[in-house]
Amino acid sequence: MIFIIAWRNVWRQKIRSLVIISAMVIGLWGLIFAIGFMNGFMDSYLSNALKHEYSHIQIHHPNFKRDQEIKYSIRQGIGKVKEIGAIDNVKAVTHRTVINAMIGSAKASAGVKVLGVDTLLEKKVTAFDQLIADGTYFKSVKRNPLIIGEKLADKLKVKLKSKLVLTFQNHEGDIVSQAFRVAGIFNAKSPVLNESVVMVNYKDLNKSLGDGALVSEIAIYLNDPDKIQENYEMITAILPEYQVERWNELAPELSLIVEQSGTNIYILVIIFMTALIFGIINTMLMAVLERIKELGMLMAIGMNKLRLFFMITIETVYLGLVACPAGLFLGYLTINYFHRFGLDLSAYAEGLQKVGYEAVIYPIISGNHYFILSLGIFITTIIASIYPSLKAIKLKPAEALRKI
Amino acid sequence: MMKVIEAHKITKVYNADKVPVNALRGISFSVDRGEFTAIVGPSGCGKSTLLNIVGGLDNPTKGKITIEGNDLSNLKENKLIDFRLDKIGFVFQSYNLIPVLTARENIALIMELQGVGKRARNDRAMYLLRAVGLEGKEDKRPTELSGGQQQRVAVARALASEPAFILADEPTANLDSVATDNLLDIMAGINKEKGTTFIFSTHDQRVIDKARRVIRLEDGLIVSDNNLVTNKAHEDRP
Repeated sequence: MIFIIAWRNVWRQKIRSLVIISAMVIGLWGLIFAIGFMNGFMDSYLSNALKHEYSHIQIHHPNFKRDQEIKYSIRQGIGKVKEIGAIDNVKAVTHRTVINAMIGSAKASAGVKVLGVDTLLEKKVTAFDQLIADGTYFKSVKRNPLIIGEKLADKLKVKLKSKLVLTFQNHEGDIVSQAFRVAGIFNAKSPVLNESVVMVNYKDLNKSLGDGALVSEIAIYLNDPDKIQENYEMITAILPEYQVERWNELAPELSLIVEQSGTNIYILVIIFMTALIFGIINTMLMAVLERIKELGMLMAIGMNKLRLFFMITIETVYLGLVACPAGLFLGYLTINYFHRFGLDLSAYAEGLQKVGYEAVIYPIISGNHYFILSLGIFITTIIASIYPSLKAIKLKPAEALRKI
Repeated sequence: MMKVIEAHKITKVYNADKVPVNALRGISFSVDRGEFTAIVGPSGCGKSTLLNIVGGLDNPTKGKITIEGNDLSNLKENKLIDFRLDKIGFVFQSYNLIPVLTARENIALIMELQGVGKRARNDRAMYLLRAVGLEGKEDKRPTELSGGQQQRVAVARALASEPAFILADEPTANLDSVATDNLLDIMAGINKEKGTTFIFSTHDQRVIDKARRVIRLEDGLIVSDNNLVTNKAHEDRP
């Protein structure tokens, strides 16, 4: 009957209970949306970075990252690409020749990173063909095609079909120059790619470098990123003498941003729950203080302190039990809607794209988050009930009964 | 006759605003099983204080209260609550029913606290409602009942745990004369039929007229203790 009393007590002051329940529902709804939005934001940032820049796993010579010289290459790299491609869960794998070079147009020059790519494999891994804003993905120029980022093209004042000269060191250590023509101009989310990277066919580049089979880097894109550890171990077994790195090792700043985002979510949850605790305490304290005489009577007729404590706690938990499903459901509907149709932030597109974000965000929230929030509400109500419950059990029945 | 209550030199001093107020000044009395006793006296004479102490709701400053041989001062707070649940029934001036429960649930609550099964407590609640003349009102909430009916539910609730005695603090203070007579008839009937011990604090002459023993308090002291049954027995003696 304590459960019945507690439930009916919740509805004794309907307006007051509905106010705090509504506050919980709206708060929970907002929190779910905020988490979904942050997740969506982070998801788009991460997936852009992984898809067009880092991939899930990369392989280099152990000294390559320090010196980036062509002598630090992967032996029989092209053959290894086929071997890695056969591993379960590997969606696509490609090889690259990576050098630093000077690029010069008729009007300007700049230092760039040149990626010599297998055009077919590369688009499977980085989907770079989808980023072409002008021209084509290596098709519109027959000899020595090159694709370049919008920013760099602006800087060098070049357009489609413009001639560019790359100057670099070959295998022998000699400085060589090679002319290319702009086949396409891409617009990547990453400012680094847009401003300081050009792509050419690896065969054209390797010819000038003097080693047709040169491979500086192997990039691997996975079907299921959650299995990255398993795949990492398999790939390490294939190339034990090389440096195999997962994306969080390749881009620790990216990993930090993702971790920080997770922390931000928990901070948000804690702030919400703390505010909620005070709201609930206020409501329940009012409920206790206006029923002092009744609580005194219950103690007088034989309700022990444990039961009384339990009754007030249950009453508080009921507030959460009513609010939680409503808040979760509203949040679920909102997230579902925006996950399907996207949240258009085109008004801020320029700013967002500068830092690698999409202009349309697709909020997403995991079942795990719903569970954590439900548990959080439950724990919050339990914590919030402690003070009013203690207040109730500290009453002296004789004094409480004298209250008007 | 078995003693239900034995009060020995009960003193109660309140320290209101650092000025000690002697509410009770060494009162001693005892109550036998089956008594129908009224404690009377002017406001502030210590009636409610005495009832609170006898009911284990308050502690005496000095003295000892024994209920069916159990010294209340030896009981810790939770034990005392359990003791009140099993041994003492309370009827309050302003009924003090739980507004969110029906008449039947208000009565059954006591038995649930005692651990009585659902069917047994519902059967007994219905039996008690019939006993106080409220058959058909079992599903009414207190706000749907008159003052007299609420007080009858309170009496039924007090009887629910089959207590050693019932303490009623000004039970008729908020009732009209018809409801008062009705309630007194019910309580007197229960006292007569079941032998339940009743102790009232009251100003109400109709309650005093019904009582078979009247203890009069003044300034925290018993100034008279008139037991009509004993007196009658004395008078009847040749």
